[in-house]
Amino acid sequence: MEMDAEKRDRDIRCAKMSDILSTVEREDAPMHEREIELSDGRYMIFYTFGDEAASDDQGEDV
Amino acid sequence: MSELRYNPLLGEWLATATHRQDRTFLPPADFCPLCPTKPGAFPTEVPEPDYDIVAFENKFPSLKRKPEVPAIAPDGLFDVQPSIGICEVVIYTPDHSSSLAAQPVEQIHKLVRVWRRRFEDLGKHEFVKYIFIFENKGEAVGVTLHHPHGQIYAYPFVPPVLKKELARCKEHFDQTGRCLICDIVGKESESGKRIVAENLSFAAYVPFFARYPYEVHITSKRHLQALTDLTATEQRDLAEILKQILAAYDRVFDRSFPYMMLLHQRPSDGGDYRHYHFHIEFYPPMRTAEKLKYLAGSEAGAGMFINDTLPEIKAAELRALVEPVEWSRS
Repeated sequence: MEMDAEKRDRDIRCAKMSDILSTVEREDAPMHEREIELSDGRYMIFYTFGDEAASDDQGEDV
Repeated sequence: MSELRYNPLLGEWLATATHRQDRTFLPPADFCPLCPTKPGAFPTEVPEPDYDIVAFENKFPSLKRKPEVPAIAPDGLFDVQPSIGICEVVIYTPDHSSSLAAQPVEQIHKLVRVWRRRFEDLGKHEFVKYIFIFENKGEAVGVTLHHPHGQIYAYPFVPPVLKKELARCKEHFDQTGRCLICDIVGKESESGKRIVAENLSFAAYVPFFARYPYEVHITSKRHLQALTDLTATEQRDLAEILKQILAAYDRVFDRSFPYMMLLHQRPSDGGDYRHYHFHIEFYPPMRTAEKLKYLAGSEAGAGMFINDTLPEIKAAELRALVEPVEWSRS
């Protein structure tokens, strides 16, 4: 009985999450990356997201 | 100095990395090397403040793109190799005092996309055979820097834990024609006893065979091998369930919860791993608010873990702390 109640609670919680998933429309912002070289030769990559593309970035098409 | 030494007793490689003894150890917040450099302040490792997420080569790597010649020559049983590989740091946010759990789901989604890109890019190196994305969080698991960050190790071989897991999956596939991890998720979903959270693409559960009291595995419901196989919807669903688990963890003891977060994906050596299944494992070291689960004699010396709790009870405890996630509509 206790397990049934637990499962029911879980199902209710999942249903709420599904509601959120189905009602919120989302569109992925484009990802931009810009790589620099540090003074000791290591690379560093900055990732930004949004429509304002940097001129030297490499946008991701997803 | 660093090198790879072979352990003939276990059939495993290990790395020596003596330079890591000098790495920055728990600096005060004002001297955090992972914060962006502020005008007039000391130069940190990150010279620019304008980013969502930044990834870079570790200053104190265990594996290097251009490794030095080993300090010692191979001698029969005692094999030695240069410590070739790549170690990256991934900073989740410029905010020093935050955590991954405290990030909005949108930021976690960005991280999933960066992980995916790093997996793709690092896998292009011929010498890289396995890409391991992970986070050590909290002093209880040995972090030396509190700034929210994770790491990526690109190994020149498939590391032993993954090798064993891959072999078990292959064995099960050869015997049954089915994926072992699909079968595990199927059984967990069927009983529901150890499920912590679920969405359309992922299930999070304390596994039947949990070794740590609050161990959680997040597994894709669709049979796939790596982050690069995720659809855009699955990437969002992964961010959502990660947010739920991380937030639930922080509610357990009403404090920032330490853990190791480990992404298990297929190797990057070009082999056929259709029998394998992508998932994330969390190993939190706490067994109570004040007590740690130590890896002592049986665990470290014999490999048999002793879990002082029941996975079914801990799953119920975590499940009660899971809350729905809301995405920004902007």
